[in-house]
Amino acid sequence: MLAWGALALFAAMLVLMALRLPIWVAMFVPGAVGFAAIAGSEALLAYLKGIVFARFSIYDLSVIPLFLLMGQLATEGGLSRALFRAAASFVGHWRGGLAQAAVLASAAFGAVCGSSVATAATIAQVALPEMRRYRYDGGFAMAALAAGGTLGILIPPSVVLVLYAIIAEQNIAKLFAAALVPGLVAALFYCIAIALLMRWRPALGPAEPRVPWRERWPALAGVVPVLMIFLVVLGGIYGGVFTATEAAAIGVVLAAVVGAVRRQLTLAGVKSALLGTAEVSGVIFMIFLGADMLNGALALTQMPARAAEFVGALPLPPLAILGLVLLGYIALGSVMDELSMLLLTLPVVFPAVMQLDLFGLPLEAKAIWFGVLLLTVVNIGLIAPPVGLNMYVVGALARDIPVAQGYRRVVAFLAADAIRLVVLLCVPTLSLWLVQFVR
Amino acid sequence: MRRALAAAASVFALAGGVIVALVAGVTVLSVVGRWLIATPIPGDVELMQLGTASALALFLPYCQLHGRHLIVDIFTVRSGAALHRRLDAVAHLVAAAVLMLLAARAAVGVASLRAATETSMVLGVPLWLAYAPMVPALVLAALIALLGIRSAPAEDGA
Repeated sequence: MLAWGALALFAAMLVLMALRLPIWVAMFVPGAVGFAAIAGSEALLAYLKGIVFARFSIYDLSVIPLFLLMGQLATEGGLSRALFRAAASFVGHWRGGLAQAAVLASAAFGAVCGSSVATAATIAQVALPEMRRYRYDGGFAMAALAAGGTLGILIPPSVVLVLYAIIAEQNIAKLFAAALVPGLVAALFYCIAIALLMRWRPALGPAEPRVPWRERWPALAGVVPVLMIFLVVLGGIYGGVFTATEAAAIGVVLAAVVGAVRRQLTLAGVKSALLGTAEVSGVIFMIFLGADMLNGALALTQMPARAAEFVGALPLPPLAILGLVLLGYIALGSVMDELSMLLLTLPVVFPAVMQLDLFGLPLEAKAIWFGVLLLTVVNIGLIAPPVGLNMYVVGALARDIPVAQGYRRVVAFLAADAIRLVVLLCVPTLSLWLVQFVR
Repeated sequence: MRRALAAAASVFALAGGVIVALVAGVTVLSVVGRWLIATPIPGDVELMQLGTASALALFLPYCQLHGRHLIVDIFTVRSGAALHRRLDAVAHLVAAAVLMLLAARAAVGVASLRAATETSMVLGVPLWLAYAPMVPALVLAALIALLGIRSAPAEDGA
């Protein structure tokens, strides 16, 4: 009986989403109704009394607004432009080189920014005009920028990994370490995908003139502040010198100082960084709240425990089950926003996956590795049709390029993602090797 | 009316942003203090916790104003603009109702905390003070939702 209740809640959520309700409301309303139906309306009212503050005041979650602010300040301080200029001066004279430069700059910016949407937007702002000047194919430019943007959450810090760490009760520092090598692999695969695409359709990305070496070195100097922030923030987290929250706070101050020293960070820039942080944090935390309400109701139906039993009893090899779970996420990610998807399903899926025997990995290693795999799935959802959020973010900056055109060119990047997912699935060491050095 | 509510939402968001920046500054000072003279600032952890919680609440009206709450539109992408407007009006109404409910319950929460005179562990800050911004923030967000105020025309899928 209760299991049907869980399905009804899930169905109600999907219907409300289809009716264009904000996702957090679409999760919250069935959650609240279900909670009241099972536990009584008194219990619901008591639950609601403290829910907002309880969810907003989790110490580990405070890194999210901090990392977002750090990324916003880095943008306002002109760091994204410096990164793109440096990358373009080295590879811009190759065919498709500006696209590769955008990918590399996104990877580097990802090291000071925890959000894929912010990374896609900031790099697109500096790279798009240049790509237009050299008559890049619009769809190709959009696809490269959107795919590059996903490196924002892959290269630590990462908002998605922070949320995963909290739901799965894992160490944030170790997750950040685990995502670094897969993030670099992703950047490499994207660059290879661009190079291969250029052999086949060279007209998509014309080369820009070669930049002489005496101009390359000064451009490279623009990378130094980002590298410094990254080393202090992530080095401090990895080395156990300070907690993730402290590191994020240091990152905010460093990004502001660098912007001020470069004389690019104005008062107006600070204001827009604060407002940008407000907007994105608000969206994330309302989704967190909505998912939490629905999960509260689902937990009452005992659906999570049942689902775990069900998955454990499937007559399939564990790796095949894991593959199916990831495919399921890719499918769900095509109708749902990826963050809501993870927040909503992890309480059910995580325990189920943890009881699988995967390469005989110990529990913690398995949890960290699964987090990296999920991150890759989220990346795919961010650029894949029909609702690749990053594509729309870039599209909002380039109104003349139809998103459909971008989707046609994004296939090469999706292929790179798919290959990366298989590689990460077959070689857990890629994700787990760095973790051993975290203190 | 609309302009006043929009301005209030920006003020709330900026106040929240300043709080985040301040607690970040305090945390950095605390880390430096721990490193140089082996004395962190007492209560830095709870300041961060209470500060971000109230800041996040203050962000909500601005978020509602900019209408950037994620929606799924693949099912309605081919339906007309008139239907969109009607559905979005309903969505705003539902969001307003939920936000109002949360505001009312949060107000009860604040009142009972105040009655219980609960304080934070280290600094002894009355907890209801940190809770309090939630109530006006949620009410403001609900009002903005109710009036269906958008700062810019709605962007599909963005």
